[in-house]
Amino acid sequence: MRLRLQILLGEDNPGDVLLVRRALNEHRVEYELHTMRDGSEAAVFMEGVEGGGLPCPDLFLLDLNLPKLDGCELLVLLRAHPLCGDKPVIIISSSGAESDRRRATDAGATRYYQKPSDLKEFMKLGALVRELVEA
Amino acid sequence: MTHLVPPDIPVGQDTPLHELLISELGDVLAFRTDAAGLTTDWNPGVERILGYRKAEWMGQRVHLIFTPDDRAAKKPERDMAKAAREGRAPTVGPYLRKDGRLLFVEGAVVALKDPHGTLIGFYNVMRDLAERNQAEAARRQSEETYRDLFNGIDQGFCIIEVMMESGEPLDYRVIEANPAFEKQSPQGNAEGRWIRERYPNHEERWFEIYRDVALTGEPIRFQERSKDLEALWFDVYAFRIGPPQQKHVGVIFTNITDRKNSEQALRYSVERVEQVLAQAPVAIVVFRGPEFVIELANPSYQALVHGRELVGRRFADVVPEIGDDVWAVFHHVMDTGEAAVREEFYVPYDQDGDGIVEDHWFNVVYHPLRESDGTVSGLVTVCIEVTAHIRARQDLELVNRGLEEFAHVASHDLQEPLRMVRCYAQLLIESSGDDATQVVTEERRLFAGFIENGVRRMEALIRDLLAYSRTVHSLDLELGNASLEKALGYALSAVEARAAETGAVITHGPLPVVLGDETQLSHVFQNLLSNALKYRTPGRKPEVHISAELQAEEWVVSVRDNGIGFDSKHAARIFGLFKRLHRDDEYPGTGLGLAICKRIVERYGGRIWADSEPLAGATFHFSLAAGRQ
Repeated sequence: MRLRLQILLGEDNPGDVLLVRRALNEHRVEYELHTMRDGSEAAVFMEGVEGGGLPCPDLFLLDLNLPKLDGCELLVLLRAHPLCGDKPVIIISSSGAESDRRRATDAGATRYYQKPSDLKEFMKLGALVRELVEA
Repeated sequence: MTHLVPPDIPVGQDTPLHELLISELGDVLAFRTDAAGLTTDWNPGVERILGYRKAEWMGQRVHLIFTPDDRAAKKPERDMAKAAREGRAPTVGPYLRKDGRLLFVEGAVVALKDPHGTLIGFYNVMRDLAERNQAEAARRQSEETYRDLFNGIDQGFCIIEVMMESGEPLDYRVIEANPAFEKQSPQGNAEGRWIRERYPNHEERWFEIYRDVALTGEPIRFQERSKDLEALWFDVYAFRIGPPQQKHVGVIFTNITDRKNSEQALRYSVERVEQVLAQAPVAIVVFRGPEFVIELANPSYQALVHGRELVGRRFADVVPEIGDDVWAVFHHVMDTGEAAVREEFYVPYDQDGDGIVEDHWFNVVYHPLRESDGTVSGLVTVCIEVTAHIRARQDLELVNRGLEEFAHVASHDLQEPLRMVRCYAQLLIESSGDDATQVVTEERRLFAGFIENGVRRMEALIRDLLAYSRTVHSLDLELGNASLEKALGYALSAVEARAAETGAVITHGPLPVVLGDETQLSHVFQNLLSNALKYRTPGRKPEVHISAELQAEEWVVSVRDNGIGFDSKHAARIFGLFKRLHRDDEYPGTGLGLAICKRIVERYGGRIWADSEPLAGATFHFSLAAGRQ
């Protein structure tokens, strides 16, 4: 039996957490979601991965505007992580600004996903996750 | 009186004696004439004393050596008659030399008779009265010198006679004038005519001055103007001549009108320059020499270096805190002789004298000062402080950055909750299928529809506000050439889908290159085209035509449609923020599109306006400056 995909989701908005779950479900991703409500919570989690023998998540979904440490700052830490440095990371944000996209790319994001305001569009995030995991 | 020559010397016996007389007695003149008074002999004495050579002398009438007065008085004739009658006629007095000078002699005319007693001629013997002649020569010399001076000097010189009565000046007149008089006083001297008669308005002061000189004998020098004499200016030296009772005054004068006028013109222009300097709102300072000593600084400049001594001091001593940048320009101008211009030149120094250097910016022109031989001897600095402008701009830039940030935050953070509302409104509709009763489901769907519609409008508003705010910032926009052809191209591709949907026919004539920005101007076209498609006449395919026409020096671009149009009384109102002529359920919109157009066009110095009639289509016009060659 295939192990469920370990996904770390950095997202402070419960509404978006629910939508992410829906999108993953819609595309039949089998996952276990570790939701971090701010950047430092996520950083602490990653320390546990390094020192405490926890497994490294298979994929990261980080909200750009995460409190305390934002998605890009977290991403920089992540890229330097000895065990998880090469995992796929999707920066999610409602901003369509070019400057935000560039910031994410520069920090080493695998993808930048602008949260759409249309429900159907939002569901496509599930497809993106599938695509990255299966690649 | 000694008789020099014995009377009745017979003719022919004279030669040795005659020669002896001439050669031994240097101051004796002796010659003979015939009975009619024509000279019959000549000797070196004639030449030495009278100045005549033999050829000029022989056969001349003896009148030659008489003064005009004596000739008129027939003295030669009388002398000869007396000698003929009485044997000899003593003579004394001045005779004329060939050169016109007088010769004072004494002597006698002696009759020469033949043995029969017939008069055959005369013997003239004259002794030069040397002392008298020298004195006369000196007098003449002095008089000639005076004459030469009188005639030769460039100044006007005249002798005037002053008429007065019990000390009151009545009049004066010129009694003698030199040739230069007319040159200095173009109206001439009118010798002998009384001045009051000739110049009734001649200033009283002239009469008084000459009266004073005539009375006191004290010379005076003055400069005066005479209105009657063509308002000429004279520099005059007046002194008394001759005895006081004669009331003669010598007047030496020069016409100094030109000098006075140019002095006045110079003074006037200097005053004007000083006025300009004093009132100029720009600071002006003149530096001289390699030490940059301040020669002149106007009040505006003094205000820039509050309370510091300037004139006569080295610039380095006046403003020791001045930076190398300024010195570099100073030396550049001095070394090359080229003017230098610095805009928004950053010159930190202590302006208010509190010992603390502040930031200042200036627009400055440094200009070399050249000597007549071309060498650069200093420089003049003209500057105006622009610190307040710079600060205002910096503040504005700060404000704009803040606005930009705000716009960015707004676009992100305002959209964020809307996204939630919209997504979950959709979820509500989707999950309504689980509900028990269809009625409730229908009602939910309706409500969710309202929510979604509200969100969409809010999103459109935020998007347009953002677009509007983007036309506010970027003050540093540069006016470049923008192809309206290209701008329209971008706009057409943006409205392509909508145009296809409505079956619109969009055509355009040739479009020019204007001053502006293609992206911004494409927004103008895009908004105007969107409106043309939106406000189309129901049941009719939209037709839009874009054209451009050069009017005066600007291009007027027109976008004409065949839509529903509007009442022309709203023509101005529609460009206002959030101004709409229709309900949202008729024609959705934010009321920002035309406001954005107006802002963009006005930022490039143009205007935008519209004309229309209801149901007759609308035409929007905007003007822009033609592009640079």
